[in-house]
Amino acid sequence: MRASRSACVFRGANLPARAPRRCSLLLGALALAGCAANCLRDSDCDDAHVCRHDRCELPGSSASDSGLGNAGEAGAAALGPSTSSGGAAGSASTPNGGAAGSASGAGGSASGAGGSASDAGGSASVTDTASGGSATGGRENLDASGD
Amino acid sequence: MVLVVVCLPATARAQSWVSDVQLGLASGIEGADTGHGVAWQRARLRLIVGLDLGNDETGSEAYGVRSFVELERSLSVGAEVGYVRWVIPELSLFFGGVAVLAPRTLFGGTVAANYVFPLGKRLGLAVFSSFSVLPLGSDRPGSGVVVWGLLGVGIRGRL
Repeated sequence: MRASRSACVFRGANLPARAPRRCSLLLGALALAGCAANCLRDSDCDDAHVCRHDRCELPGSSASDSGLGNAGEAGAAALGPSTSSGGAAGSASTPNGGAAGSASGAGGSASGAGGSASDAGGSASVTDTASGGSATGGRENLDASGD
Repeated sequence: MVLVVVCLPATARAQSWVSDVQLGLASGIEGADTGHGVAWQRARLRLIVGLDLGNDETGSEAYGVRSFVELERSLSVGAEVGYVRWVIPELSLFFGGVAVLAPRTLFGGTVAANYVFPLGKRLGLAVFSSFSVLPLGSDRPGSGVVVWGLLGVGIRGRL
């Protein structure tokens, strides 16, 4: 998977309206030098992804579930089921430097096994086993930090 | 006998084909509308092999075929077919169609200029530039148009 950078595109329309032509060309050159696109063609991405909105995304997916820089969202989604009764704990980690979320829950007399979520290319999985009792759900206590 | 000899048709001057082969490397800028505005990046380095084929009766015209391989990111293969017109013996212009054929496709048109610095009777150093617009194909970002502006150098030889 190609590393995602912030969207950094050169929009001619954003140039000052009254900028001299020479200035526009200079700005364009600087934009080209420092703000090269992440991808322009589908073949800039790997076989599993397509280029949409300057990012490599899974085909048919929207930007929010592309798996690039959205690890926090994937983690939160994966932690959702851990709101079941019983002690629940979940943690999410991401190798992409995105948001990492952790959740803990305790309650009742039951013990809950933790859940874990990992993000790889936008897919998240969670293993959550819980039993009995009532507890504060993991999602409510989700303390996410990061981007 | 004399009559036969006199009436024999003279050997027509053969129309000879002129063919130039060119091998070059090119890169430049590549642009497209990504949906968030026009974005640019350095165009992939490509290896180009070209053949211009004309005849000496229409000395300033030929038909050209170029095949290219994009060497960066994912390898891709493409070709250009078009009309070649020499403005002066060193400078030719190319007008034609361009396509990336594999692994994904792009189709469009291209205009190129090719200047040759002679290095001998049959050999030359070629400097060329091209501008291509590719509005069709599966390798575009959404429904955007891909644009290439390329500069290249190569070796040109006459067969």
